[in-house]
Amino acid sequence: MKHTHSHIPLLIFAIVVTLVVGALYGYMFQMTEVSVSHASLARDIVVGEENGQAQSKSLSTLADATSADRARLNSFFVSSDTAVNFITNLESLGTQSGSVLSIASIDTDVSAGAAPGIIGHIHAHLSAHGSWASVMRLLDFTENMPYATSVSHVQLSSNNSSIKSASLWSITFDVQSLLIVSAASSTTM
Amino acid sequence: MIGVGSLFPAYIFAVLEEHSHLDQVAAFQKTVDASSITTTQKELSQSASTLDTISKTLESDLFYSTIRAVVALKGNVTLTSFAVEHPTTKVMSIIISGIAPTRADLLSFKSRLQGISNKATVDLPLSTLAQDIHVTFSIQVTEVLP
Repeated sequence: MKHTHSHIPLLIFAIVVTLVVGALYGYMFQMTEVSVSHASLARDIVVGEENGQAQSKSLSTLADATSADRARLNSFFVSSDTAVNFITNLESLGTQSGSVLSIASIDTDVSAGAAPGIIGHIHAHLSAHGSWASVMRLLDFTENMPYATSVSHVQLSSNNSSIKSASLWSITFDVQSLLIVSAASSTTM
Repeated sequence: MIGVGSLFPAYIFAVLEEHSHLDQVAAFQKTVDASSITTTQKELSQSASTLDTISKTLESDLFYSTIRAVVALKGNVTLTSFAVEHPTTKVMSIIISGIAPTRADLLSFKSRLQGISNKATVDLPLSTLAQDIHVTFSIQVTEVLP
């Protein structure tokens, strides 16, 4: 009985083709997976960049919208080179309020030769006397000075301790304003 | 072979998509000026800090209104002195001295002061009430601000 073996090469060929196609499929699958992963990563980067651009735009819009107001912020500070104006303004409050005002002391916590832009305080101790209305006006005017000013240690007393209405009042208080060292000059206060 | 062929379009699409996105990123990076954004951020941050400093300073300007509020409640009591302190941003303390025509007037004044706020404590020494008329007093009001 004669056996024919012509089917063996075909079988080997079929196995080889199956293995090659399988390997090719695996390779393609791997490549596709990597590409999809890269594309997904790139899309995330694009989304991140878009968000960043939107934030930058809103930041610029905010900066533009507030630029005028932000420019005014420094006007709330007493500049070191215009501290004399501040003192003059304080003194003028006495006349404006109708009280007799004296500045008992004035000093600052900013050292001489401080770098421009350094923020500190200028302190003044004020005392005044006059009618009730005038000393209250003085307190009101001081609290509403066009500087970042705070008032503390307010003491009001009348010179009349009788049951009748007091006519003359004395007031003492401390005033503290924000001071900024200007670029034009360093403070020598 | 059909499986390999069916993966090919997906592969091509993914590669094109990736290149498209990378081109977009490159275009974004060309248009963005990182230094100007940093400068803007610094400016805004500095302004916020300055505003915060100014706000903190202005928080304590309550003396005029506080004294006016007390005077509005005095009735027929004569006030002779005030000592007002604002030790913290949340606490206002005021010592009021004066003369009341009668003990009843003083107690009435005290109750009006207590009505300023439910967070105000009014301290009137008991010894003050020993006098019946022309009562010289000193009241301390401490208010916790909202």
